[in-house]
Amino acid sequence: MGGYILKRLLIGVPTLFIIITASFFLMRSAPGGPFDAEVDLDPAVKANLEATYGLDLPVSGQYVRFLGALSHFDFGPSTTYPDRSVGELISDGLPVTLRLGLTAKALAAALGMTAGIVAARNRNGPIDAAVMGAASLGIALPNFVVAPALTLVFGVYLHLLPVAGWGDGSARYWILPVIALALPQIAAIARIMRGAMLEILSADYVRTARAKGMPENRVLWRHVMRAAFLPVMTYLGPAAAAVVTGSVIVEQLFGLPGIGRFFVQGAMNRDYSLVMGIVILYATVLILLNLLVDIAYGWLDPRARVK
Amino acid sequence: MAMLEISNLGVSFRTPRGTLHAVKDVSFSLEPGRCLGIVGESGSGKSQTMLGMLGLLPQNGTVTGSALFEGEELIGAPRRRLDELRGARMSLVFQDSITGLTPHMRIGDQLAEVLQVHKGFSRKQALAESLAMLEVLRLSEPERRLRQYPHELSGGMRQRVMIAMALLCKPSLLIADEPTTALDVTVQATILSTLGKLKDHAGTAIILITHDLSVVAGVCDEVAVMYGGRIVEHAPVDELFAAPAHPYTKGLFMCTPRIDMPTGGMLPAIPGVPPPLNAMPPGCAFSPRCPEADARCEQVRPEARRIGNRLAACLKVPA
Ligand SMILES: Nc1ncnc2c1ncn2[C@@H]1O[C@H](COP(=O)(O)OP(=O)(O)OP(=O)(O)O)[C@@H](O)[C@H]1O
Ligand SMILES: [Mg+2]
Repeated sequence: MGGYILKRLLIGVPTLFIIITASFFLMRSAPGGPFDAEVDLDPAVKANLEATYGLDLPVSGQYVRFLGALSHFDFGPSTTYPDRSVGELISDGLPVTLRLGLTAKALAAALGMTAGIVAARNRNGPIDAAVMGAASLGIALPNFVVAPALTLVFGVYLHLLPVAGWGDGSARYWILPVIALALPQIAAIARIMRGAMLEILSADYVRTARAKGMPENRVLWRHVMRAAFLPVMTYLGPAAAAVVTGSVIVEQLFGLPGIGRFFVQGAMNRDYSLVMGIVILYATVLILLNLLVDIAYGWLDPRARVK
Repeated sequence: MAMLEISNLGVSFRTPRGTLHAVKDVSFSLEPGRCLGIVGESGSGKSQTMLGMLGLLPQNGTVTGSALFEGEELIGAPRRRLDELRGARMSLVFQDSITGLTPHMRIGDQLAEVLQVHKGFSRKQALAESLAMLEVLRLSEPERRLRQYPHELSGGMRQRVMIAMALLCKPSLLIADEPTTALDVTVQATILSTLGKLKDHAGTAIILITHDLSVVAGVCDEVAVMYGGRIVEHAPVDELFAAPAHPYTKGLFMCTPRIDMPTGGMLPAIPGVPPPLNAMPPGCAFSPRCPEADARCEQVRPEARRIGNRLAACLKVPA
């Protein structure tokens, strides 16, 4: 197992390198540069600025410099936020984004799976219909509708929670964003879980368990549940990577200091270092999560286990 | 009192094409220590009769009629009560043993839980008992098997695990649905002799569903022949083999087994196929294929009649 993990991690290094290189050259080949937005910029000033950030070098030279800095974890300075390094920006925004994203994921997994199980156990009954109806609604309603609606009800009318902002970072500030982020995922997971449960409940081995006289709860927990987690995992794994970039929309709507807004602003302002920093973060997390998902698969399904 | 008394058992399925009656008006009884063989072509309702009786039908299935097990009605019994009986006093070995074991549980855990749930054994005790049962059934390297997952076992091994599972609690009724199909001849002989011992020494009543008439001759005391969801003939095994009464049974015996058949040469072929469940003729279901049928057979459904020791449902069988 240890050897397998090491091997997967080593394969991750060239993968990451290819992603970094491709993104680097793609960014540079996009039209415009960091200082093209301010139209009335004096050419001399612009040249000066570009020299400061090393943008006067040929692209290949910039690439070598970038890799050199990266080798000691220096992502370079941000052009959008002067005086701040990309490393600082990311370490500022990441905790906010992570807290939001992970809380929302945990909430979505717990509630979604519970709802799916309840629906499956009451299949085709009124409870099933209610849960699945709510799930369809949850999937159909986009974040940018749910978030303002939540703000309106709990913030503006009921004055229970702040309308926006991060304040001191206490729970009151992140409850609404977490709910807005989690709702569509709860709905999606509930549907996946219900489908998986229904399929497995009619499997031959579930019939065997019942024929052995196992009470239904034991059938569910020991014979059904683990197999039903598989499709949920398939959904959760890649989706969990989005946790680090955060929900761009939800962070914008609630005015939260997460990473999501850096991603948007960085891309729009051609802030090369900032975008590269976020790309590297995202790619790393994705590679690690894929490994984690594969390990979890092996645990859930012995047939997928590596020898 | 009979150990098992089935009366007018029916199984129907709700399908998009309407309700299908897969089992109709099945009645029989079974004494302790006796073995009933059930034979009949694929789709004749053998498995669904057993599943219906045990409350294990798929979602779209409904069972009607009565099934008294040791005097207790099974049809409509609460799940809690069925859980106490199933796997402990009455066991079922399924036909589909390949997919019948939970893929993510070790063989040992799947066996042991039967004793843990029914007998309150500790895991360790239950595993030891399971090991002993695998040894009785002559499974190679039994200790290792307990730690393995189903996909690591061959089809024949899995089938023996399923049989072991059914025998762990020493049930008074064992229903085995084609238990030896995936097994080679020597293992098959082990299983059949194990069944024979259970019957003779432990007084276990056995229902054995099979396509193999030689198995029937070797193990069973009586035979029920099913066709189109009904029992068309039910007789002591020696009488049935000596002189089948129903034209369908005659067909089963007269056709010489053929080695090149997909079932391994067990099921003799009768010309034609059974009518589909949603297009049963008003009269005898076998009449379209029956060499003896006349116009009356196509219109009048024959009731089962007692002729000596046997029951036969055919207008042509002389009283
Ligand atoms: N869930 C279901 N929905 C509709 N029809 C079904 C369902 N399950 C079984 N049937 C039908 O019930 C009939 C009897 O099936 P059964 O499994 O009892 O046959 P069998 O005698 O055991 O055959 P085999 O020898 O192939 O095992 C078949 O025609 C089958 O198609
Ligand atoms: Mg069958």
